[in-house]
Parts: sequence; structure tokens; C-alpha cells
Amino acid sequence: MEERILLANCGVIDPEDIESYRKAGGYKALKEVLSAKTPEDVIAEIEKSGLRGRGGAAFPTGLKWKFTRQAGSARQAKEDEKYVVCNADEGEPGTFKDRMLLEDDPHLVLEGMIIAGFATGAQNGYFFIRGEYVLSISRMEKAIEQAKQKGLLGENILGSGFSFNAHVRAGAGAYICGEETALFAAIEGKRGIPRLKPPFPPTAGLWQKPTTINNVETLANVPIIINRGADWYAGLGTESSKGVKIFGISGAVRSPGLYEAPFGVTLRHLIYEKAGGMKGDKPLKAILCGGAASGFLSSEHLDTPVDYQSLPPLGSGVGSGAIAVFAEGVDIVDIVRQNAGFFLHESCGACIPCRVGSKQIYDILSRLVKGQGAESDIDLLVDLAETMKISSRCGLGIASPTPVLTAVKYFKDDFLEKVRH
Amino acid sequence: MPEECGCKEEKLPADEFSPEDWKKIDEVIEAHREKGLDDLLPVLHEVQKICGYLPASVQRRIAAGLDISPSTVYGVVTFYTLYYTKPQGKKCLRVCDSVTCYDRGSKELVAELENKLGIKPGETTKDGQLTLETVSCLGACDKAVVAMLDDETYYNLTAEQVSELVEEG
Ligand SMILES: Cc1cc2nc3c(=O)[nH]c(=O)nc-3n(C[C@H](O)[C@H](O)[C@H](O)COP(=O)(O)O)c2cc1C
Ligand code: FES
Repeated sequence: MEERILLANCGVIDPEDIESYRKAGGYKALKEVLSAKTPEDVIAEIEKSGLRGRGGAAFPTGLKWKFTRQAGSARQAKEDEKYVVCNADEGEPGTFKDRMLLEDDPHLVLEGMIIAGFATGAQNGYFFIRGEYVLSISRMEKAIEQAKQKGLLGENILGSGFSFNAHVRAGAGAYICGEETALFAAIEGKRGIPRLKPPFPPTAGLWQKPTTINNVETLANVPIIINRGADWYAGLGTESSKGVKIFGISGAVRSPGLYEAPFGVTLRHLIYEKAGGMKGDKPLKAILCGGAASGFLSSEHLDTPVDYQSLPPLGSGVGSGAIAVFAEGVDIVDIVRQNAGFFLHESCGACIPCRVGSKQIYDILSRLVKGQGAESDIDLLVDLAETMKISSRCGLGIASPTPVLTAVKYFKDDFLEKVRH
Repeated sequence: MPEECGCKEEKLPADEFSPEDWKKIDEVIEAHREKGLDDLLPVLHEVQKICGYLPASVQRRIAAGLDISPSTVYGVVTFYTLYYTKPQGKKCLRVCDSVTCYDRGSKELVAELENKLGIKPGETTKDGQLTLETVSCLGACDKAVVAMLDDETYYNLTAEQVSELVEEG
């Protein structure tokens, strides 16, 4: 078995006991940072590691931190007016990695956040955790309490002069709040409607203050990179996609679960080696790779390396690391319809392309599934999906047509089948 | 849309919640008063735990207490799916119907529940015991089909097991 890096503590340590985390090497990175590094050193180290955001957009983390740090000095903002936000609103269907990290290793994520706070010059951090993740919320609250008691949070941490506080906010059931600016709105007590960008969060984020927002898994990488060095981390993975990633493999496989692997691993390896192959040895029909707003792939693509370079040309992506596998025999058009129903429900309604387009797409797919569609409906579907992609206000309307487009691209016959009655 | 405007709730008897409940509600509001709008979501979470749902009377109390407009509170309450404007069943069963669970049989599971309970998702049984909902991915897709009964998550569910769960519940 390959070495577990990000998931090393999961299921091994007691997540409700800070000493258990410390014994496993926890908070060593924070100590090292506070005693021997400047914020600039930390940012340089993260940049060198090649770490990119694991929330879906894959933005270089070091650069994001640098922008946030600089935003302060340029605008003369007081240090306490910057924030670190951890995006723990995990709601992308097929994704279940952040929940495991929060439940099984909350201190790792917290340590990552405190280091991010030091590097960017923030004094407060918020965990925005999905309301349904009841255990994640209580585990993180407990972790914060314990870290405070040990002087790892609060005023003058470990005598370094650096002060930082962390807070937990529970979501209230809205997928759109995973979008960073909608998430800020939710913390501010408002409806989760995304803002127009720019300005981007490092300039104007939470309460319009410079903010670094990072995914749970992104922050979990941070202490590991500090402990083992950027060079070691950058040596994992591929040139375009450095490091390791957690993949959540679900569906028609023998051993669904979370598996970590360096970038560049093939889908075949993940599905047939890690997840034990197809349940009942059925042939593989489709893979929804990267999450419900990412793209479908077919069995032809099994030897594709999973990285930031290889998947986008196929219309798919690394996304959240979700890999949902479907076996031959599945009604793929019905799966696409069900998935489109999710986005119809979750569209915030602020822009017409997404509000109206999601409904139209859902209706056409429903017609097709019922055998009441025409061949021209398939063209209309593609036309609508492409229009939404270029005209929607935020990532939801831009990304949600992707599964529709890729399904039509790789499973055209299944769609045609529905209109030949 | 008279159903949506809140008038209906206004006609509810004023004493629907006991004086003790109102006292608890006021305590929650008091603890967050200074933060105002910023703390609206946590206040709604805490108050809903006391009341079970958030009718117009409660929304107005919160608005006054946090010094924000009632329409702001109403807008937020109706935006998020975990806040309810109507009374809910004593317990709530949420069945995931996102891609993986759907592929692994959540549709059949929900059909079984509809049959057994005589209600559709979004409805509450006549005796007020159980509300049935279909929800999006609960973040445990490797153990599909997944459902939550109140705060407890259940994994690898079959139609049979969920039937039993409802009976015990
Ligand atoms: C509709 C929508 C939903 C999103 N949901 C999430 C989410 O649940 N978790 C997450 O980390 N990022 C999510 N994102 C991405 C965030 O906007 C943002 O890019 C991310 O939190 C940045 O962190 P990172 O750089 O560490 O990835 C979502 C984006 C969109 C458009
Ligand atoms: S799809 Fe049901 S838990 Fe994720």
C-alpha cells in the first residue's frame, strides 16, 4: 500500500483529543512557522510546493495568500481586518472528502488555517461548515476549544506575538453557498447570492475585507508541506499538477471509499486497483469525474491521467476529486436528468441564463427520459447548455451544463435511443 | 401567492408557543443582539431548535431584536432549505437523491417510503410524527444509499431497512 499522507491520521488518532494529534506530529508545523519563519517565507514555501486549491477551481494557493497579504499593505488595512475562511460547505454531489477530514482529523485543518492566518496577516478565521454535517461541526468546535486551552489559538500564540481566533459557522442548506462570495454573504447573515467578481476575495472578501478562502483539503495540505518541505511535496504528482489528491470513488465499484494518490494516477488505477474494480465484474459505462458540475467520461478514457492538464481537454476535470462510477445498463439520460434537477433546485435565481436555463434543460431531459422528446431536442439541449456556460453570473450556471454537454458528447447513442420510438 | 406571504402564519394563535419558549427565544436573541444581522443565521438555527419552525411571529420577534427589517429575516428564512416556515413532523427523514444514491436505489427507497407513509417528499404524516424529504448529497456517497433521521446518519440503506427505521422511529 502506498503511504497515506493527507489521510494518515484518519481512523488512527482520536479526533476529539488534541494530545492524540500532537503525538502524531501535530502542531509541529505551526511551532516551526511561528518560531523560525516570516509570513513571506511561508508564502514562498507554499508557492514552491505547487499547491493548488482543492475546492474545484485549482487556483495556486501561495499566490492567493500573497494577494491577501499584499492587499493589506497596499490599503493600509489594520491587521485585524483580514480573514481566513475555510470552505467546508462540501455539497458537490459525489464528494465526501472534506467531511472525513473534518470528522477524523479536525486539528490538521485547523493548524492549516492558523498558518494561513499568520502568512496572510489575518487575525480571525471562519469555518463555514455545511449544516447537515453535524459531527463535523461539533468536532471542529471541540478542536478549537482544545487549541485555545493549549495556547495554540488566541492572543500571542506560543509567545510569538501573533494572535488568531477561529470560529465555526453552520450553513443552512444551500449548495450555492459553496461559491466563495455566496459563502461570505451567508456568514454576513444574508441570502447566499454570489457577488460579481472582481473584486476578488483577496481584495474584498468577508465584510469586504481582504480574505483568503480555502477548501478544507487545501488547508490540510499546509502543515504537511511545512513539515516535509516544498521540494518533497512538489516531487509528487506531475509537472502541471503537483502533490497528492484525495479521490472519493463511489457507485458501481467493489470498494467505494476515499483514496489518495499523486496526481497523474490513471482513472483505471483508481477504479480497478484502489476501488477493487467493478461490482459484479460488470462493464463500466460512465464516470462522472470531478463532481456533479464536472464532466462525464466513458470507458475509452480509463487510461487518462487524473491531473489539471489531461482532463479539461476532454470536457471534464479534477474538480473536487469525486469519481462516480456507473455500470453498463444504467439509464445515463435519466442520471443526467436527475443531476440537472439538483442544479434547478440550487440555482439562486439571480441571473436569467441559470434560472431559466436550468429549468429548460431539466424539462427537455425529462421529455427525453419519458420518450416524448424529438431529435431536435438534443440540439436544443446543447445550444442551451452552451449559452448558459458563456452567460451565467457565477460558477453554478457556468459549470452545471458540463455534465449535460459531456453526456451528449460521449453517449449520443443513448440520447438518440430515447427519441427513436 | 398567499401561501408564501406569511399571512397564513399570522393567523396562528398567539399562544402557540409557551411563555417559557418565548423566554428562551428572547434569550437567544439577547445573546446575539450586538452582532445584529451578522448573527442572523446562528440565531435562526438556535431559535428553530426551540420552536421547530420559524413562523412570521417568531421572525418578527427576531427582526425587532436584531434591529433589522422583517423582510430581511423572511428573505433569509426562505432562501435556505434547513429553515422551515411551516410546522414539521416530530422527526424528519432526509433521503439523499443525488447521483450516486440515485443510481444505487434511492428512487426505489423513496417509493417504498411514499407507499408506506402515504405521503410524498416535503410532506408530513397525518399524525405529525414524520416529515419525509429528499435532499442532495449528504457527503457519504461511498455508503449509498444514505439518509438522515434528524441528526443521525444511516448508511448502505435498502428499502427494507428504511422501512424498519421508520417503524422504530
Ligand atoms: C456553485 C459552486 C459551489 C462550490 N462549492 C464549493 C464547496 O462546496 N467547497 C469548496 O471548497 N469550494 C467550492 N466552490 C469553489 C469556491 O468558490 C472556491 O473556489 C474555493 O472555496 C476556493 O478554495 P481553494 O482555492 O482552496 O480551492 C464552489 C464554487 C461554485 C461556483
Ligand atoms: S450521492 Fe448520496 S451521499 Fe453523496
